[in-house]
Amino acid sequence: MPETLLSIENLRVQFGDFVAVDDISFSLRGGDLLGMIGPNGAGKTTTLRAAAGLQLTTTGTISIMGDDVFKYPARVAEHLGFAPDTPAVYPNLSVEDILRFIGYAHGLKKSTIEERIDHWLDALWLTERRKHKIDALSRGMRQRLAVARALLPDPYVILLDEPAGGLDPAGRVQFRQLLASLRDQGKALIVSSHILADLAEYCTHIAIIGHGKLLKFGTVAEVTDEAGGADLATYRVRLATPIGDIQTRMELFGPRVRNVAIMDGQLRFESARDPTSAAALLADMVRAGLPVSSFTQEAADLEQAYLRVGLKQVD
Amino acid sequence: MGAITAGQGLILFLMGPSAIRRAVSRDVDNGMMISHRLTPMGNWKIVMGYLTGPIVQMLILYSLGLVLGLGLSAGLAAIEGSAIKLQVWLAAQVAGLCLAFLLTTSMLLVALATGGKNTALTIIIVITAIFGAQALQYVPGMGLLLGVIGAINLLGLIPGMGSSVPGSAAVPAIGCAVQLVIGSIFFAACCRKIRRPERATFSVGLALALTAVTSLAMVGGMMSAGALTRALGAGFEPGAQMIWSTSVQLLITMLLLNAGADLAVTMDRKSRFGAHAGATLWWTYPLLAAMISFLTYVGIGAVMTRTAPGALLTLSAVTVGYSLVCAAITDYSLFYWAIARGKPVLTIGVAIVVGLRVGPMLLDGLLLGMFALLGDLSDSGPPFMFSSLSPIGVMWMAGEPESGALVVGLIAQALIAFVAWRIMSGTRRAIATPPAPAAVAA
Repeated sequence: MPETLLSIENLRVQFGDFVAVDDISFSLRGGDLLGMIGPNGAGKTTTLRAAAGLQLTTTGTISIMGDDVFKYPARVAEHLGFAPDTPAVYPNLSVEDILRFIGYAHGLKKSTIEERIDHWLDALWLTERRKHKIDALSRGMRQRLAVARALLPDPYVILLDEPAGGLDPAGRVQFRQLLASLRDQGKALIVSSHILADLAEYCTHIAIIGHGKLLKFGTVAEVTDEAGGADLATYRVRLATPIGDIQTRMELFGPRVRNVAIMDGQLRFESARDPTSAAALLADMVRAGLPVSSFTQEAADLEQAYLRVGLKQVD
Repeated sequence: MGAITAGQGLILFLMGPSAIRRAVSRDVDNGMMISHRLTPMGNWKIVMGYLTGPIVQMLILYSLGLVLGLGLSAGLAAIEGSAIKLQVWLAAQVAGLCLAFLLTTSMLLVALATGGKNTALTIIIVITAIFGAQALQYVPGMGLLLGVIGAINLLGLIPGMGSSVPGSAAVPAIGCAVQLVIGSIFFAACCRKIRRPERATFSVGLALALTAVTSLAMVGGMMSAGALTRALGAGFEPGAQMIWSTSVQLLITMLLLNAGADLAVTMDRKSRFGAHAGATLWWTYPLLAAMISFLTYVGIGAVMTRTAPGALLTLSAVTVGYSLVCAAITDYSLFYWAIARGKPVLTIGVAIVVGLRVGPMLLDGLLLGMFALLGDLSDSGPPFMFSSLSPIGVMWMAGEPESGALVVGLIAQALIAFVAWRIMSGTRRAIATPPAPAAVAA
């Protein structure tokens, strides 16, 4: 198996005069789970469709398991699972029949198909619905069926476009566990989602896309740290007893402390990121008589990272 | 037996193609077309699935009819002591299957190109295939393209119903072979289109093969035109047949121009990012298309010198060639513009045919009717005012080479081609210029 499972180089996609994807490059190895975020029309779905070989590209090369997706589509399909945002189904078929159909289309043996159907229906909480007609399923169930369809051939590269859109909170938790499990099995995944908190939890990498461009790409830590700023960090301080003029008292620390605010009964401010400065500040606060009961540095989150790149709307 | 054949015809030529179109339309709507593209099946397997899957039950019915007909004709042959009826029955089945192959592959290709949504085009194809033989008197080559034996004429092959097909077995056999070849080209185009829905219906290679085969069929059809048209009891007008045949070929070459324009746009877009040198040889596509149409015209003319020397047209081949080149440049440029700007190519194609190829003659026909109503036609005005704007009209004006309207029309054709070329050049420049970052962001 090659080290790089998915490689996208200088991908550009144009519709008429509109540039939907502009010079996007990245690659994923086994165990990488990339969360793709961006506003409506940013180019996320087009990028995923192009990666699956479903979207004609203007320039660029995309390869899965070392095979060009446009030159060898059939070979690539053996290793690729793609769940589009709108599930593809024959509404008159039952849940298990559509999966059986997909299994045969992938050239799987009957026994393997039945085994995998049982496994994925169980993993995606559809076992009770296996005999149900698809047109009787809710949106969330259809979404899960689409994921089961993508995973049935046991692909190495998995692309999921808004997979958690129709899931309830409990379903989202289970879905996070499923994605983490696939990641840990050494598969390469891309998940397009707008639930940023979820992405931070299970993704290894994050890509922020806007106006067709890859604005940020890196590990979750890299992207969020960068969002937090190179020098400054946000701190939360809990005081043992409330102090009325805390804002004024904080001014005593001069330029070392910025943007002081009280949030949820805690003191929140920005200060130097490095640990030595933080320790010195804490010591000075205690010396100044502030009843500090806890002093923590906030991790910059994905939401901050997203807002920092200047994209206003999250879809 | 006539009833069995009619039933088989209904299955093969009407119900089958219609079911295939509906299957494509349904799969495009519910996303299963994408699902098929995500499977490791070979393209030809997916295409075969569409060609046979939706009509499995119909094929079983057809096979039952085949067995029943075989039994009946064999029985009749035994009673009469002659195997002719059995042979004719089998010949009808082979001819029907060849036509069905051409029809279903063309129907699938149209469905894939339009998402199964263009019902009007579907109806036109079915009607043309069934009644195509009636066009033989105008376009003898249609006999080879759509069946020397159109579906209606198949009935004539059945014992006791009176054959309307000429006695020579070679012509129907060649017709069947041509249908299989063209059906195979359509099949190959389907295989390409199934995973590349955004690209032109034909690749340049497939379009070139198609236009070459149809060109040969047009000339070949003309060679047997006398026998075919007499068999249908129609008038035999070689001049008109020459013009109609070339006109049909002119329309078919639009597929080549569309394929060439699609490829050129792709190459020019890549050149913007330095990934390709661009379509530097773009002019070869219109020239190639014009040459194929011209060779069809000249080829038919050569056949006519042998079969009907008195009917030779007087218009210079150079004039026709000039007009065909202008038309090809115009069509290619407009296709290029449409593809590059994301306009609906099918609509642009229909607009070209209606507005620039057939429309001018219809306009003249309308004027002709008005002049006829108003009084003495000979003193009222020329019958070819607008026709000279179209190469089809130019060919029709063969009888009046001295007409001033012809000269004006030829100049106008060059001007139209020039304007279209300028539009294409502007589009090419826009494609080759990288957009400013602000424009991209907008």
